[in-house]
Amino acid sequence: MGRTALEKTEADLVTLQYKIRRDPQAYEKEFLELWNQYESTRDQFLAAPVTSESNVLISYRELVDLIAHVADSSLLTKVPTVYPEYTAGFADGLKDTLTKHHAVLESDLREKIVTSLVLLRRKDVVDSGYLLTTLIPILVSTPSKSLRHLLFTKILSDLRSSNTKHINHKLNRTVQNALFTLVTSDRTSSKGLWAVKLTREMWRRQLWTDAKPVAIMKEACLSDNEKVMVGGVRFFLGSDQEREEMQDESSDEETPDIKQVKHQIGINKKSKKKKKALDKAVDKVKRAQKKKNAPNPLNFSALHLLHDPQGFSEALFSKHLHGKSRLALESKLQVLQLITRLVGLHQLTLLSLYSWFTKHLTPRQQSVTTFLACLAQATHELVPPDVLEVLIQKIANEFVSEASAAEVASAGLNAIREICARQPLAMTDTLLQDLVQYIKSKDKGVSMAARGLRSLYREQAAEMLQKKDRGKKATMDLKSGEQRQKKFGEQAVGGIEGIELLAKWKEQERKRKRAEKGLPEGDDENDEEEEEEDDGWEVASNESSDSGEWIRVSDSEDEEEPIAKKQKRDSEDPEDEEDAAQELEALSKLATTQILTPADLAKLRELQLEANVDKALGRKKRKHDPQTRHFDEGLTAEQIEAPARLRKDTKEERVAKAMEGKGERSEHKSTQAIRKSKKEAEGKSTTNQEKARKKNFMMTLGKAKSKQKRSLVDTKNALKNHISRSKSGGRRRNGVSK
Amino acid sequence: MGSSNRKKAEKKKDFQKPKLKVGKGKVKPDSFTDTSFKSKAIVINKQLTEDAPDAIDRFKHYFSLAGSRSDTQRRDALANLTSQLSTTPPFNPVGTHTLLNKVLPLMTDISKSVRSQLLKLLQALPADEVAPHVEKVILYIRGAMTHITQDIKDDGLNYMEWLLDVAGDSVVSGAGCWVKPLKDFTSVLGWTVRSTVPTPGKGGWTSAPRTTFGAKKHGQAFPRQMLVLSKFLAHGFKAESPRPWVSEDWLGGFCRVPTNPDPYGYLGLFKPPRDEDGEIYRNREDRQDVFHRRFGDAIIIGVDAAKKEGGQAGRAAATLDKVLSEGMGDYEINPRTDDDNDGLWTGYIM
Repeated sequence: MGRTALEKTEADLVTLQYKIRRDPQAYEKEFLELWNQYESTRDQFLAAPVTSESNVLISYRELVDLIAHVADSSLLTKVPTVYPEYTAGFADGLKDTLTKHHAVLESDLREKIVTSLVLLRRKDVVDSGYLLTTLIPILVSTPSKSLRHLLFTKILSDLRSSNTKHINHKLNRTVQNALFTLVTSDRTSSKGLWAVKLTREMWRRQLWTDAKPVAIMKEACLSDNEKVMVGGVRFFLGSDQEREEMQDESSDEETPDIKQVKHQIGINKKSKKKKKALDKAVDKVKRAQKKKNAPNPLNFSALHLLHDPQGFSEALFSKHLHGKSRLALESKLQVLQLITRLVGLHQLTLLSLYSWFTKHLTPRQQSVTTFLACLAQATHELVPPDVLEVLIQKIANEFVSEASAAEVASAGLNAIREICARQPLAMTDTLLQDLVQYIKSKDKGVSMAARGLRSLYREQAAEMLQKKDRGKKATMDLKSGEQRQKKFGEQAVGGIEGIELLAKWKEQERKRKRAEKGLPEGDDENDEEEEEEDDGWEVASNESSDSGEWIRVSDSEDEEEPIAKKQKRDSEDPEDEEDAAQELEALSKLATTQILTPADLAKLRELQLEANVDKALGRKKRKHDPQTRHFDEGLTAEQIEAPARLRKDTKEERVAKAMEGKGERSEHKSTQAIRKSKKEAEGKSTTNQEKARKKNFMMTLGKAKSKQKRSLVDTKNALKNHISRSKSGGRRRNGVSK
Repeated sequence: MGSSNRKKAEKKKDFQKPKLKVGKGKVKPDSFTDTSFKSKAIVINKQLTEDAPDAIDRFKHYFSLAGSRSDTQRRDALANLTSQLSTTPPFNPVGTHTLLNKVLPLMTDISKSVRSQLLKLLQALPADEVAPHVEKVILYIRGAMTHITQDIKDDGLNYMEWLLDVAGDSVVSGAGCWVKPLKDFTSVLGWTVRSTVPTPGKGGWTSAPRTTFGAKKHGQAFPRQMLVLSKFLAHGFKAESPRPWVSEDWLGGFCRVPTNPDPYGYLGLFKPPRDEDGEIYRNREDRQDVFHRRFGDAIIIGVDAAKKEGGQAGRAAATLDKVLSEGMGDYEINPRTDDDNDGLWTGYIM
């Protein structure tokens, strides 16, 4: 009954809506009737929200839709009408209905009410705060999955749209406060999950980048509910990467190919529409370029925006790891990763963490490599070495022995290396010498891991190694006293990165200028004064490309050859060595004796870049070079396991790698045919040659016949025209329209 | 060419006519499905019983058919129910409440015959049983009165008239049964909006709507709307004859079981909170008061305009005017309202 009864009415409602939109003033009376109709239907509905007749529900839904659409009608015409006066309570009514009856409402009607509220928001009848404070409580309390999904998308899109033009701080603050209380009010409930989801999404889109969302996530991490907690932890572990990916995605958005558009305009009929399309495309490309050139917005990672990381990590540890916690291993590991990440990044002191590790460091422990990676992550310069010494000893005992499998041993060695890279003092010399013996292992993974450990200690504390393992450079450095093990808590003296490059370059410049002037190399004093005069700001204008001297950068190579070469050269003239020492001293003074101009700084940057390029050219960069990795980045189980994967790929993998990016060749076809079909698929046309070849024979006959019948004069004229045309650039005048 | 010949033949094939032959019978189409079957015996699961279903079952059957999808079935079901209700004594095994719940949504039915049959059914209902359900009935009547379709609107007036006849006094004193219907009336008559004031330039004083949306039939309904409104107002403004107090009342006030259902309903204890529109206006003064405040001016202007139209509309307007002058004649803006409390305490230091 309902269906047939409403078919006609529905059509009428549609026309009425159309007419009201066109001329709100003239249809005021109809609107008022409609409004009363709406009120009576609402009363009918509210009298029995659960058991209402289906046609009552349907007409209610339609009326809601219509009124939501015409509620702002007076705004369009700038003529005062009755609409706003009557619909003032409309949003409140919808809100009321939704909040009270959302659990029992029919799904279509419910959806309509939600979308109508959003529509009212879009029409600026209600503000975002109103909408969000209505929707968020329903989001967390409704049992319906579809409604939750709808609400989530609506809330998110509203937050996004109200933050697009400029950041709406007021709204953000309200919403963030609401989410914060959602997470903190009831720590055992899973309601906080929605706060986590919303915050994460907003963070990913870089709409919320301040400390407040991080605070929300921090509270979520301390939740009793496992889902909420894991959501919070995942945010800290992965959100920044997610954000970067999102940014990359948005930056390589499809920019239209202007060339193609122009080409198409040349061929197809010229119309205003096409021109508009071209303008749009040009505009889009320009905007994209502008965006590309725009300075990167400052993005602090969530881990850095965290307030009181020490307290947070302590709370996390005592709540989720220490004592009895019923967490699944997976979530436990994630919590552990977060804690260790925080400890490593902020150099926190959490001594109970290390003793907690002891019981987990056996090869039988599930996903032990993650534990190892976490331990390494948690290590930093300020961890007392005696705490770590026990752990390293345990790893060595449990993992590294002749009896254990190669993978296990290499994982153990790698873990030890990673720990020692962060705190070299944690190693005893007997253990080190023992471990270095594994260089001779037959397994490549193990021997490489041991080699890594050896090269690490060659740089850090060569005296702990046996003499035969020290290598030439380390031995020399030890002798000259250049290498010295840092004491616990000792901080390196800070300096300007790459300042020595600049000083060196300056020195060279000075020498060059003196040579140009024909001065002897000797007297420095008067020369330096001169230098002061004509140096300075004009540095930037100097041609920088011709200063292509190779600059040696201290590299952390563990291979013998380059070091040997260098030393050979050094030993050739011992005077040079002395000079170098003096020079180094002078160089370090550069920053303290002179004021660096902007030009100097620019040059410094350039030199640094150049040096990096040289370094990259000089040797192949290794993918998993442990030394090049930054300590801030965190460590994963894969890096501990890495050498275990040294095994070559299987044949299938190799074949797949070879076929990568080569396109499909399912049927046997010539390369040209493949190319042609590819072109066709891209929507490009054939060449003129191709067209001529394909042309129907019958169509060419007429022209051929008439050519034969031409008189001599005609032929001559035709040829003449052809020549003049080819001189002036063809029929199209080389693309210039006539 | 070869290919084109083939294509021609293919095309031709689609339009070939079957050859008809005398005495051979019609050729069956391609899509014909043979549905004939042969059977040695036909088995009937249940024999037809001698005695047909009893009266209650039949009533319930038609009762359920009132919600049928087809127009005629709905109408017939209503007609049957009506005939059963009009017997003496009326036969209604489900009770008025259930019956009303079922048939009230049909007020906005798309079929005219169903609606008119519904009116007959309603008229067949005993008056005293309708009175307790007035608040529910008026909801649906309001829905019909303001419906977008003019026919349904007209029938809404019929239902309103019926309700006033049946339970006029309880209508005007029910919750949400005074202001809300008045609002509907004024909006249907077009007396709320400024457009009743003739716009300069266009001239004229007719109150017929200028838009084309349903205007054709509106003109005919106009006088009738006014008549029903005047009836409604007459009930609202009817002078109450106070019952003299007798000594039994004192005892009866707290000892006797109330005779009407939901005796304390006016307190609204278990109902959603009421606003001004949904409030109960129990006595004449209250009604006059709120009428004067919210509708008086608009209706007076409307009546004046309608009188100028003359004809049926003018006559109806005159009736309405008479009701108004009788009902509101003795009305004085009384100082009893709470608004004056503001002035009461001025001058005192609180």
